[in-house]
Parts: sequence; structure tokens; C-alpha cells
Amino acid sequence: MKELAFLAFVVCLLMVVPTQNTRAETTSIDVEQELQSLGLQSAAEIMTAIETGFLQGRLTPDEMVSLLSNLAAYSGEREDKEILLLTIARALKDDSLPVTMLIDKVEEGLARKVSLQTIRQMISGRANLLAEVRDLLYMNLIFTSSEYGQENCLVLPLPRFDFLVTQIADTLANYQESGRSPLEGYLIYEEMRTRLSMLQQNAIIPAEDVELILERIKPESLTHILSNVLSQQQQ
Amino acid sequence: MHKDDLEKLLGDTLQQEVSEERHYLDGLEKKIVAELTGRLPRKGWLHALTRLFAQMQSSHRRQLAVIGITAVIFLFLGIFVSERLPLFRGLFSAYDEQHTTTITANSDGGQLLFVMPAPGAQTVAVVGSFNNWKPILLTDEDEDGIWLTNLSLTPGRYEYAFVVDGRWWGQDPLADEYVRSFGGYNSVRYVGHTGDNI
Amino acid sequence: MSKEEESSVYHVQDEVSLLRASLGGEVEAWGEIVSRYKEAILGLCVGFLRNHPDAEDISHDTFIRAYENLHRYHMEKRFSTWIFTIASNLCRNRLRYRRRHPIVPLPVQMEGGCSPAITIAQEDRQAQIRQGLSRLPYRYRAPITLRYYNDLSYHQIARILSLPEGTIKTHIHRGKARLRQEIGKMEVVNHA
Repeated sequence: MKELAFLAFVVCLLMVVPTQNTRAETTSIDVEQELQSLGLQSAAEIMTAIETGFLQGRLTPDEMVSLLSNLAAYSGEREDKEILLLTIARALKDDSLPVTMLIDKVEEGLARKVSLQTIRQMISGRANLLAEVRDLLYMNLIFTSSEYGQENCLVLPLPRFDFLVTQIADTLANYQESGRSPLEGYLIYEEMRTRLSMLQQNAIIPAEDVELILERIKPESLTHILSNVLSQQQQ
Repeated sequence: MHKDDLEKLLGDTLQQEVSEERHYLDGLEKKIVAELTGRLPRKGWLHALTRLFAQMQSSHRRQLAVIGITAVIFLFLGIFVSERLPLFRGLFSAYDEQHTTTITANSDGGQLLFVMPAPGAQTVAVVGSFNNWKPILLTDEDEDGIWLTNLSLTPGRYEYAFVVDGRWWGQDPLADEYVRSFGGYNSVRYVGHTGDNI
Repeated sequence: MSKEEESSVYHVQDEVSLLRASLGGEVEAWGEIVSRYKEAILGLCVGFLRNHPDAEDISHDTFIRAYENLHRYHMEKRFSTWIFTIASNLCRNRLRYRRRHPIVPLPVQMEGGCSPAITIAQEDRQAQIRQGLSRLPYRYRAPITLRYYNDLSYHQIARILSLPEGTIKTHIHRGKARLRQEIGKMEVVNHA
């Protein structure tokens, strides 16, 4: 009897061991550990923002661990890394913006071995664009919550709203980074139309979202946004 | 509300600016009243109708007027639309189709084939937004100089580039579009819900 | 009853009665509303537009437009929010117009009506604030004006500007930070 019990115990142990070899799910504890390893002064502020992102569904632990570990491995000043992370954290927590585009650009910049200052400049500009585009949608009565009680307002679920903001901001950023004039409102509008149409043709966003944006957002608003962001960068 | 120095200064400054407009503020109400009183009715049925409507004190009468005007507008709209009914029907069905489409991730995506001709290269990788720009190696099993890999991706828009022996190549002929990024180029491809994309 | 006696009757009436009377065609009652709100509306316009002639125009237009649309106003809602929203929208339209038809801005100066109670140092600070405000982007300037001049809550400002409260707080915070920066720069220049 005792031998059988011992055998059963060994079999159970052997069954458990292989399952432990499978990759454990990344959690916010892993994220916190990666962040701590960077030794930043604003770690607490950054972690609070990251946790907000997790709660809102705007960030995943996997992408944060990837970003933080890549940053830790990158040669550069700690201060520059801190400013990068703070830019993302503040965009997320203070401005309540979707930040996947910013994280993606940081990762790309690190992969391209671009200087941290260059990456910082780029994501700072893009954070401004995200804010401007988000405000533009609000001004055109496209919201993520019905609390504002305005007539004729449209409420989209947060992921859908975030996706539109991100895609439009990314289009504007690409336009700006290509060196073209911010005054060509119709050109910018066409770029936006092309992007949204491609997304719609591939059934990534619904046609109604495309129609909504093209109907409510005017070329002059886009010129205004790019001019604003440009003047902020020049200050 | 606790006011710090800047907040108080802001309030005081704006207050001071307003008080400098004393010449404008004095008698403003008389001016407005005079303008409103002295306004001659605009000629035309629309203005008369607007004034009549504005002066209706009885909410019941106003409601009836609103219903009546709305009914007339919709009657004309209906006549206009019915003449173009086939097109209207077409638009609606297109809207319905799109409306039932699911959006973005967590749905069926597709296989994306990456091809890079690089004879003589030692390593060829693809980096992109689909995996945080970490290199994914391509292979050239038949050693014909054509490097390949197939990736399963969820629906979305992806930017990427090839890295051939450490050098970035951002303009893939198979790309849907190109964008400038960090002084170089990225290729872009879209993965939809329709299945394989080559 | 003379006009003066009529006006004095309106002085003591509450806002709802004045609005009802205005709706009933008593324009003098609307005059009393103008009297009570003119400073608030003008201050809003000055803060938003940073251009006194435009601010005067828009204040005037606000009262005319509000009167013409009074039948659309819902009595159970706060009147101040409603009229401030009209002013805010007119200001935004005027700013859009000005971007296409710019005018040379007036030099920032303290005009003759300066109160003797203000010291020279305060004058300097106020001049810096005026310049700083004029340099702020509209999206920071507008909520800052509504908060520190019109003394409104974040919730009211959010309704007037059609933005979420969180955004309002962020814009005010950023606007103040930018102002502090601007004032700092000006002080460096002055002391150079």
C-alpha cells in the first residue's frame, strides 16, 4: 500500500514537472521587476500609469516587459530612458491616450539603433498628435462615454475609438515626417482617407467608422493640427 | 478652492483686462435692448415664420407646429428618396454588410509570406510591429538566394523591414505601401479577415 | 410706468422670471440679463480671443444670439452654462476666421484705466501673464479662462467646451506649466 502511494506521488510529480516548463503568463509583477532593474527615480509614477493601462485594456504585460527589457539592454543615459518612459506614462495616465503607437515607435527606434534623444523627439511629437486627434474627435461629438450628454454625439467603445485615434494620428505623423507642407489640408485628408479605406477593405474597421470620420473631420482641421504640433515642436 | 499665486494672478489679470473695457461695458445692456427692439422684421416668409414660432408661448401649440413642419420636411424627403430608391437600397445593404463585420484582433487573420531575394547573404530577418521589431529569421533552404518565411498574424496593419546581414531594407515590392520612419523606409502590409495574404 | 421704473423692476427679479419675461417679448428683462452677465461674457471672450475688438464683437453677438435662441433653452438647465457655451462657440468660430484673416495684434500694454491700487510690480506680473496667455494654445487658454476668471467647476467647463473632465484638468495643468515657463523666460530676458 505504501509503495503504491509513493508510486502515485512520483507519477503526479512527473506529470506536474513538464507543465512547469511551459512559459508562465507574464504578469504585472514581471513588469515591475523589469522596471525596477532600470533604477529610475520616477519608477513609481511610471508603474502607476502602466497599471492604469492594464486596467483600461490599453497595455499588456508582454509588451511592457519587452519594452522595458529592450530599454534596459540598450546603451544610453538612464535619464533619457526615464524621459522616454515618462512621456508614455504621462500620455497614458494624465492625457488618457492610447499609447501602443508610442511603444511601437520606441521598439522600432531601439531596433534601428537610433539615439534615445531622436526617439524621444519622435514620440513626444506623436503624443501631441494623439492628443490633438483625440480632441478633434471630441469636438466633432465622437466620444467614448455617454456622460457628456450632448445631442448628436456618437459613443464608440474604447478599443474602437482608440484604434481610430491611433490610425489617424499615425497617418498625420507619417505625413509630417515625410517633410510635406502642413498647409495642404486636402492632401492630408486624402492620406487619411486612403488609410481608413485600406483598413476597411481588409475588414479591420467597419465602413460606418470610415464614413463617420470622413464626414465629420474636415481638411482644415487636419492642417490646424499639424500646424499646432509643428509650432509646439519649434518652441 | 485653494488658489496658488499663479491662479490668483490669472484671475486678477483677466479681471483687470475686463475693467479696462469699462467704456464698452457701460450701457451695453441699453445698446442690446435698443438693437433688439428696433429690429425691423426681415422681409420674407421664413423670417415671419421664425418670429411667429419664437413668440409662441404655448408649448402645446409649439409642439404641434414642430410636428407639422417635421412632417412636411419628411414628406418631401420621402418623395425625393423614393425616386432614388434602388441606390438607397444598395447603400443600406452595403452598410448592413459592413456593420456585421467584426473588428481587429482576436479574430481570424492570415498567413503573411515574406520574400527577400538576397543571394550570398549570411542572415536575412524580418522585423516589424507584429513582434516588437525583434528579428524573425528567414530561410533559404534550397540555396537559390530567395529567403522566405511565413507568419500567422491577426488582422491589422503592420509595418516592417528586412535586415540583410545587419543592413535594413525597408521597401519590399510585395508591400501595400511604404512610409518614412527614422530617416529610412518601412513597408506596410494589411492582414484582413479574408484569409491568406501573399 | 417709465422706462427707468420698468428697469428697476427687473433689477430685483430672479433669473428664471427674467428669462420667462424675455421669452414673453419683454426685451427690457433681457437687458437685465445682459447687465448681470456682461462682465462674465466679456472676460470669457477676452481670455479666449486675446483681442479686445473681437472680444467686444463676440460679446455683443453672444447676447443677440442667445436672445434669438432663447426658445431653445431648457429652463431646468443652468443658464450660465448655456450662454457661456454660445460665447465659447462664437469665439471658436471667430478664431477660425482670424486664422484665415489675421490682424496685427495690439501691443500688450496696460491702458490708462489702471487702478492706483496696483503696484508697479503687479503691473509687470500682469503684463507677463497677458503676454503668456496670448501665447498659449487655445485649448489651454479656454479652460484656464473659464476656471480662473469665470470661476467654473471642471464639470461645467467640460460641458461648455464639450470635452471630458480629465482632458480639462490636463489642459489646465499643462497651460499653467507653460505659463510658468513663459514667465520664467520673460524674466530672464528682462534681467539680461
